[in-house]
Amino acid sequence: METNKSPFASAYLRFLQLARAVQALPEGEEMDANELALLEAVVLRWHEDKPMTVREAIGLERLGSPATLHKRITRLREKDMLATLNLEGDRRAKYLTPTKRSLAYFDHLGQSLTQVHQATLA
Amino acid sequence: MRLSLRHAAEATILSLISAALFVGFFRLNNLIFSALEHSQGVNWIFLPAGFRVLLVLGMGLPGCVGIFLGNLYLDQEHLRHGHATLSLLTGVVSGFTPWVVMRVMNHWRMLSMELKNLNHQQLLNFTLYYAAANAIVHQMLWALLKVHDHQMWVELWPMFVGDLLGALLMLYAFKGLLHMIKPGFPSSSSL
Repeated sequence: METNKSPFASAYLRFLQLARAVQALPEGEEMDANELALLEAVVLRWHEDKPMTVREAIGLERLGSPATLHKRITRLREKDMLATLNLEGDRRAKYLTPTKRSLAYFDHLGQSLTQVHQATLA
Repeated sequence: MRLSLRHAAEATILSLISAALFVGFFRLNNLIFSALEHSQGVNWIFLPAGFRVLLVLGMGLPGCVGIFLGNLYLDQEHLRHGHATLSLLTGVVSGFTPWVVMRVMNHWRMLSMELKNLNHQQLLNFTLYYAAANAIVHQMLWALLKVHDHQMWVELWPMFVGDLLGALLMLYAFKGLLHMIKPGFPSSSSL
């Protein structure tokens, strides 16, 4: 195996390694497993054209108490993973919808799944 | 022979690029953060420190040589006024401390010299150790050479904080730049 790489080639390969590590640097906006479970529940309902209200979301007993879920929704909104929407004619109900960022996240997961599937078939 | 000449030429070019980038960011840092200067050569935010990390990790030894040359260029006044030893040794410390930190981390199997399988945790560890080592070695050198008005224990902390903040700022700026050049969702660990 060729190990005597030229300085340019070595610098380029090191740059690629460095770029990969830099791209993975934490941004302080990681979701924990509980937040992800709530996000998935909300986005699934939105996908079924039956968006979940905030009241419904804080009533998901299997995911936590109403106070805990309310805090979790707030955190997801701060992380730009959830948005709220008021429908015409019903100003009282506040619906939870995914944001561009959360849709991009699910898109990324979908792409990763496809890659793994293709790699398994290859 | 032809191959080694080519290698030498490439290493020289990388060193010159490294020197130019280091000098450029030194000047930029003076423009932006001059108000945060604690004392001469010690700044609460020091962007070139971040460039040292990127240059030494990205270019290896030619990057170190470039930083050394860049320091000599920036210290021309000192060189002309009879402080050649101080300027030369400051350049050596500035350029080669990150490389020594890399060697030590490599010895303890915390980092590969070729950056093989480099992850963000190793990168942050390197940044932290480098900032500490750089501040300690610089301050020890200036204390040994009895630099005028130098107070080692007073200047050590601002230098450490400045190098660390500067390095983190540069790394995250690099991350932002990569994200702009290559849009798309980053790795799952960043969500």
